[in-house]
Order: sequence, then structure tokens, then C-alpha cells
Amino acid sequence: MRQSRESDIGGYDWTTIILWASLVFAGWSMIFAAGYLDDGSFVSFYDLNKTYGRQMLWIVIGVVIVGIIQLIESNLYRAFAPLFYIFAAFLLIAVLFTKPVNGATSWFDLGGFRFQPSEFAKVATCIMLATFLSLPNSRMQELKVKMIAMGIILCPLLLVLLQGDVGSALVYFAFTIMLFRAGMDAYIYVLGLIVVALSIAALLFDEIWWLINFILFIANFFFVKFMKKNNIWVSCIVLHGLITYLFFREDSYVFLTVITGLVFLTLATLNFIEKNWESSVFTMFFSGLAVFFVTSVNYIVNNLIGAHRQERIWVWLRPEKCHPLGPLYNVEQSKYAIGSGGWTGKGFLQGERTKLDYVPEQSTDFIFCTIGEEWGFFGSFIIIGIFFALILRVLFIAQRQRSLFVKFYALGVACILFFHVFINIGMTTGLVPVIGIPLPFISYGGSSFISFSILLGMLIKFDSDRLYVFR
Amino acid sequence: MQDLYQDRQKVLQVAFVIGGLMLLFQCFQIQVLDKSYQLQHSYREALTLYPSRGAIKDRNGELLVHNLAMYDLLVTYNKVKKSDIDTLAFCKLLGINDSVFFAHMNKDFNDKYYSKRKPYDFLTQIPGDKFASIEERLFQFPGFESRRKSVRGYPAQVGAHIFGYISEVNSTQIKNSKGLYQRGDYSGTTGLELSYEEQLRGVRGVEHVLKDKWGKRKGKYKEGKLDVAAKSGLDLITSIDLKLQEYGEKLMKNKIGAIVAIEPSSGEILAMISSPAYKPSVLAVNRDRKNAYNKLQQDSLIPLFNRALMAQYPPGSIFKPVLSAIGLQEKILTPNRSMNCVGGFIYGSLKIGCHSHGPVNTVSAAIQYSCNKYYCQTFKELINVYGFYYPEKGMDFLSKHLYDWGLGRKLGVDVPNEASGHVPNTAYYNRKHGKGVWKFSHAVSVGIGQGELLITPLQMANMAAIIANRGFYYIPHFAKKFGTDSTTILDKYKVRHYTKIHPRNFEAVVQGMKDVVLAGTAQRSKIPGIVLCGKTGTVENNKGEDHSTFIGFAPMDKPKIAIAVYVENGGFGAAYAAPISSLMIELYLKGNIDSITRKELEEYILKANLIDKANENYSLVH
Repeated sequence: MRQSRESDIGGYDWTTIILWASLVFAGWSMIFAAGYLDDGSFVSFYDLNKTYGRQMLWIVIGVVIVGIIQLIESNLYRAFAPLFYIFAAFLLIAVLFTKPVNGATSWFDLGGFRFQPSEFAKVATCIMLATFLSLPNSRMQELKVKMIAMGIILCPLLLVLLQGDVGSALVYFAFTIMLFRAGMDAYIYVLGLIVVALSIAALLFDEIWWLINFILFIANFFFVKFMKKNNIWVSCIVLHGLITYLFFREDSYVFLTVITGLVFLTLATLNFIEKNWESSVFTMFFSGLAVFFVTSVNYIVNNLIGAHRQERIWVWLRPEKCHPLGPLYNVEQSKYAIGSGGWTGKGFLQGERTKLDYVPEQSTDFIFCTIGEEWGFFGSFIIIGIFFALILRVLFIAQRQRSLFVKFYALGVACILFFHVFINIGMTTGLVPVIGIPLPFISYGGSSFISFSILLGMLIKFDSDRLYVFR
Repeated sequence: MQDLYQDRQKVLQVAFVIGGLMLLFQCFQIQVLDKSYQLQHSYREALTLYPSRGAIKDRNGELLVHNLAMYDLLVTYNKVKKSDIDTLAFCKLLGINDSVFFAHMNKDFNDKYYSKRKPYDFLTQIPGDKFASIEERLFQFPGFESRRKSVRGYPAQVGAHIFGYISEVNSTQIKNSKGLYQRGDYSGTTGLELSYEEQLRGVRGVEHVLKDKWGKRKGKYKEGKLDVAAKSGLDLITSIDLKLQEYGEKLMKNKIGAIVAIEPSSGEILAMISSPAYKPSVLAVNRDRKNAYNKLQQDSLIPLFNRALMAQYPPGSIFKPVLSAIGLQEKILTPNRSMNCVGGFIYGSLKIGCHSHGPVNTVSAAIQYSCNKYYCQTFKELINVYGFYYPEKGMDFLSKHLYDWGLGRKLGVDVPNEASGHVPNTAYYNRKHGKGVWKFSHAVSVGIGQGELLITPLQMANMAAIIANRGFYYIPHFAKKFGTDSTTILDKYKVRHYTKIHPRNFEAVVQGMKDVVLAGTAQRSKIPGIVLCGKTGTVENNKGEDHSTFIGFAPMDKPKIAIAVYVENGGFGAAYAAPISSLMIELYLKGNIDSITRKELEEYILKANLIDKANENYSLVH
């Protein structure tokens, strides 16, 4: 049974392919712009001594690989998924024994070209997870299935972490978004978001009394609610909270927190008297945990995660704490470069900031600076637009699949793409802390480019088969 | 499994769209809303502000060492490539040809040290006067920038050994300095420049400027909030008397040796001359320095060697006043002890000769006539003070005395590389002859300042200062104070160091030294109107002509200057060392040399040439 539509010649999803191709083209032009200096140093587009020349080579190799992928029976990928996965894990272990580059053992050195197995492990993990979730007896309601799914993600994650490459390890969290779609318990994500929000709130200020006060106030609110007292009590608590936040100065917060704490204890006692055991223990436990957490976040950041990461967190949340010429410099320069583009940018090859080394890593992780500087807000808008059109298109592709395997695979692709794009552009613009991961199809680098090509290449292959078979 | 969570697809879509909108908004914020990012000229550069190094002045405030402006020209390869400059005009401006230009321009860019995007040295150490014309037109050549540095200039071309020189810090120094030094900084390498590096160098400052893409300054970064002004180094006021130093170097011309003059009441060094000397500007930072340094190093007379501090000479007869004072203190001698000199000291087969002289009835007369027998006998009695069979104890006893006189050890002068000299002690003779084998007779020549005893000219001058002070000294030093700053590092020079000799025991010694000049060996060196006390020394030299040496101080009461002069191969002490000392002292105390006889003496010294003319290397430098 073969339906033919004008939009998918040969069964391929041409929307995806056009978006993809335009990203590759834009990416190469940006690498060219970041690497090109003047006519004197320019030899040819294929000059392998330059980043743009080598990227051209990678693009050709990527196209060939995508072509080969289309020729292979798609069932094979699914059948061999465990094999890919084990092979990827093997590579991740093997790479631990190489010589460290910049403090991380993430690369195999193959005669001048460096090969990063963690990029390919992402693809293998994606297929493996999709294969596992599409098994007939994989029911997400079962704890065992949840554990195995988490295990499939954590295994490569920990191996990448062992290499010392935290950025690439964090990317594996993208798969948890996919698990959410597959049916992982929602409360885990809610809790996770609360933890993140609390951490940021606690790190934003030196004094966290107001935050403890706030947590206790929420707890008090719940206590009153549980006691099913009439609205007068509830409004009293709300009024108490409002007065605390509106009318009191910062130096009296210790005193206020003590008062809120006393109210908290009184309400807890009242709750016990009324025998609301379950709800009061629950409230006390979580408010206690939250208070403990916010008081220890600063300690964790200052003492446990290492100076380098600590610095990045402070640069992100508390730039005023950082020396403007020290850790702040890179992010500030990156923002300056993007910001100096204005509405329309300085024009192709005119980005002085990126060219004169004001921005670090201007052709790999910070490639977005070149886009922002040379093409301005219109360029940023178009690139971000293409990326999110592609991500939403992949989500749409996922939705129209009948095969669960392809559906989950497509979801995984969408999540990885989203994670990479959001973190990378977010870090260059100062929205998220600096985490060194590449911008898909745009950043210079063979491993990254080819692994993303394989990821999308397999997706369009699976998608083109959707009407042939019923899996 | 079945896809039971279709509804979550919407959550995902909404979350992704929100994420995309956040990115777009952030871009909009920094690219469009916040105009501060769009300032074209916000290219920042941190310029180092070099502090000026402290000057060195003499005791009367005369400038000895000051700063001269010197410029380095730096180039950024890529900027030059981009702007396509007029190479020909540039070469003409600099006075170089284009092959030199390209040689300086094209570095090995595979080397980590050079980058096409960062400035590197193009031409270094261009003198200030030459650079003025270059700087005027430098803006026509984008990619080139200048870096001002201050190097050392010497208005008075004296005292090279004292001041030392500065040179560029090496990579180990940079690493060990914890950020104090950067590549291209200068620091003191020898002399006072090294000793007081910390005070002289000052503190580097930094200025953050904004530059446009052509490298032109557009203003201060963050209104100069992060700028730090450079702090100049402290001026060092030394104890040197420029006039005396110049005169000493003039007198020592064409002679090998050293002069050290000390103010006894403070330990301040008034002059320190090591000859042959070289002009300090020869080793000032400039492009010919390496060449000049090599020449100095190859010179057979080793002008780089500071004889005043580093040469260890046998003192000869100038040691006799010291031994007299020790003998008097230990009651070996009494001021009126007489000895019958029978032409020398004879002990078994050992004979140390003496010249013919008048009767020696007092210690003073012994010093006046420099009687060898008298001091051999004194030495014998000192060593045998615990009995003939215990010379070890006697020798240790004597060497401890000498140690208190600052002999056989470093005095701690504030110029590096001081030698300690050598005072032979029990351990030394035990090693040389075997324990229990040697007797006083093995060491007796030490009694007349020969043999194993070695003293540096600085220690000799300090000996004279001790006699002048009647028993104590201050550590000889150059640093008087630092500008207006009252640091405590110079406090160690304000402490009196006592010898074990009672002041009354110096009376006979000083009397004898007075007679040396009045009616003894140094009669020719009398200074009209000034009582000069001194002692000549003629040091036996089995390699050639004897060395001529003299220590002295003046006036006799409340001495203002103590001096030691050592002239290698000068013959009798009275021949060169004593006249030089007396001329130095006269100049210092009177301000000039006026009487006719004294002028003649000066003429005689200035004309004297004790350096073998065949040694042509020497003339290259001076």
C-alpha cells in the first residue's frame, strides 16, 4: 500500500530535509566567516588547513553516510540496536585509556582527525532506548521497566562523565524528556523543576532567610488548608506572608523567620491534635527537606563541584560577584559579539569581534556569536526559527508514526536537538551557564556533524518506510 | 507497549516552543533592546603601565643612576596584512631595508609563542630621541604599536661595580615571581640594582582602554574603574660621595686593585673602586649590550670582577695593627714592651727576615717600623698562650678574635657576591698538617699578614674603621635611605658590632699608625694640616712584583674617613697605596688638592701605569 503525496517524493519528508540542508549551509558559511580573515590567507574553499575546508570534507562524508543509511533495510537498525549500544559503550570505555586533551579523555586521535565517541554513543543510546520502549512487554507503569530505561541512559552518561566531559554527559538528560513522553511519572519532573527553582533562588542571594521564610510560609498555608479551617484562617496566613514581604527590611529576616517558624510549629501541633497524621508529616517532611536543601546548595556549589564549574555558575547567576576580566570575560565577550549585531548585523565576513579573537572557540561552541554579530537579530531569528521548525517537524513526524520504535526514536531525536540548541544558544547569550556542547550542524567538528547526520538520516529513512509496513 | 500518553505530546510541544521563545527573546534583548552591546568601539585592551624605577643618588643628592625612555615597536601580523601598509615608507621611517622588515615580520607562527592575531616584538630598544620621529607617523601604519619602557642612564659614569645593571627577566624568574614580573620586564641582575630590587622596581599598573577595529583608542573601559595607577620605585640615597668615587677611579686608572673608603662613625661606604673598571652605560639596556658583555667577559684583566668585594688578598703588614691590638688586649704585649730585632725572626731552621730599622722599644715603634720579628714573636706567644703543646687552642683563640674583626666571614654589605676571605683556624691546620702534628711555627707567617690569611679590600677598610672607632664597627653599606620612605630594612646597619678589644688598647696602635705617616714607612704621604694614621703593607708575591697596600684613617681624633687601598704589583706599600690613600683622604676632608708637593704626588700617581701594555683587550672597553 503506497500513498503518494506531492510533499513526500520517494516517501521522504522533504520539509525536514530542506530545513536540515539550510542549517548545514548556514553552518558552513558561519565557519567560513569565523575562519576567513582576508584574501591573502584564503586559498580555496577546500583548503584542509582551515576549519571551513575541513568542515566541507565532513559535509561530503555526512551526505555519503546519509545516502548509505537510506540503502539499508530499516529493520536491521532495530535488530542490531543492542549491538550498537554495546559497541558504543566499548568505545566509551576504550577512550578512557587515551591521552587527555584539555583535561578530558574524550577523543581518539586518528592521524590528525579527532574522533569523539560520546557523540556517536548518543545515536546508539537513542536507538537502544526506542527499541527497548517499543518491546511489547515494556510497560512504563512497571518499576522494572522504568529502572531499565533509566539504566540505558545512565550507563553512557556515567562513562562520559568519567572522561571528564560534563557538557556531553549532561546531553543524556535530554532522554529523560523522551521518557516523560513515554510515560515516566510526572511527579519526578515536577520535583526536579522545584529543585532547580529552589537551587537558583538560593544561589541568587547571599542571604537565604527570605527563601526559608517563604518555604515555611507555603508549609503553613498547606497546614491551614489541611485543617479545613474556614477562610478567615487561610487569609490570616496569607496576610502574614504579605506583611512579611512587603513591609519588613532585610536585616529583620532572622527575627521574622523565627516567628514564621513558631507559627509553623504551632500549626503542626494543631494538625497532630486534629489527627491529620498523613498530611502533616508529609508537609513537615517536604518543608524540612526544602529548607535543608536551600541551606546546603551554597555549600555544595562552593565546596563540592570544583572551582571551574563553580565559576561558571557564578558567572551565570551572579555576574556581579565575578571579576569582569576573569571568568566573566568569555561570556561577556560572547554577549558583546552577539549584541553588537543589532537588527541586521554587520554583514557577512564583517564580524570583527569574532575574527579578532575577542570570542573564545568562535568556530565550535561559540559559533552562534558569528551568526549574531554578522547577521544581527534577523539572522538569529532565522536560525532559531529553522531549528525550532525542525524540532517541531520531528515531533510531528513522531506523532504520525504507527511504529512505536520509530515514534520513540523520533522523540529522542527531537529531545537531543532541543537540548543541544537550547543549551548552546542559551550559553552564548547568557541564558544558561556555559556548558561546552556544539550547536547541531553549525558548529565546526566532524564527530558532532556526522553523528547528527546519522541521527537525522536514520529518522528520514524510518519515516519514509512508515506507509510500507505496519510494525 | 502501547502509546498511552498521547496527551503528553502537547506538553512537549508547548515546552519546546517556550524554550525557543526564550532564546528568541534573549537574542532580542541583547541585540535590539539593550543598546549598550552595540557600541562599536568597545574593543578592550589592557595596557600595562610601567612604573619608573627608583633613581640612585649619592650622599649629597647627586644623581648617579636615572631612567631613560626606550621604546619597543610591536606588530600584529593580521592587522598589518589587512590594512596593506606602505612598506617602503615604513622601512624608510625606521631606517631599515625591506629584507630586515620581512625577517622581523614573519615569525614562525607554528611556535606557540607567536600568534598572527596578537602583537609581538618587531623592533626593540629604540632610544627615545630616535623614536620621537617614528611615533609622529606611526598612526599611518596600522598594526604597529609602541611600548614605552624605562631603562637606566648614568649621568656620572662611575661605580659600575656598585650599581650593577638590570636585564630582562627570564622565564624562571617570571614563574617564581607569582605575577610580579611579566615578559619584557627588567629587574636588577647585580649590585645595588639586585639588592634593592624590591624597593627600586615599583608596582606595575594597568589601564583598560577601548579600541576600535583599527586599534585607535576610543576611551577608557568602564570609565577607568578597573585602572590601577603605576607606583614608582623608591629613590635610593646611597652613601657614595660622587666626587670621591670619581677621584678614586681616576687615581686607579691603569692599575689593578681596589679602594674602599668608609665613614667609621656610621659604616657608610664613601667610595668603592675596583680597577680595572668599565663604564656602567656599557651594560645599560641597549642593543649592543650582549657584545659589550662578551668583550668584558673575555678581558684577561676580568673587569667584571669586583675586586673590592670579591678579591681575597693576603694583607701583609697592614695586619700588624690588628695583631698589636689583640696582643695588647690579651696582655701578651704591653705598650712599652721592647724586642731586640736581630734582622728577623729565627726559630730553629725557620728564619723570617726583617729590614733594618731603629730600635723597637714600644708597640708603636713596632708598627712604625713594621718589625717582622716583633709580630712573629707576638703571634708565637698568642698561639702558645695555652702552652707550646696546645697550639690548637691558641689558634682557635686568635681566629675567634679575628672573626670579631669581621675577617674570615662575609660582612653583609648590601651588594651581592661578597667574598668571605680566609682566616686559617685549627680545623684548617689539622686538615693541612694532621692533628697534633703542627705547631705555631707552621703558621707563623700569618703573624705578618702573609701565608694563609686572606682578606678582601672591604674587610681591610673595615679593619681601619675599627681602629678609627677604637674597637667597634657598623656593617659597611651603601644604602642611606629610600626617598621619603622610612623602611626598617636598613635598621641592621645602625647596630654597633664590638670587637673584644678595650678602647685603651688602641692608644698605642693609633700612635704607631700616626708615626708611620709622620716618620715611618709612609712619610711621603703626609697631608699638610691633617693627622693621617695608617699602615703600609708590602705583600710578598712570588708570581711577580709585590702588592702595594695601605690602610688608614683621618683625622686621628674623631675620624671621618677610613680607607683601604690595594694595588696589585705596586711594589712597596709606600709607593702607590699610601699616596693614593692620602690623596683620597685629602680630597674628602679638604675638598681639593692644593699644595704644590701634593699636586706633584697626584701627578705621579695619575701617570703611573702598572698594566702590561701588551694586554690590548683591556683598551677595548675603557
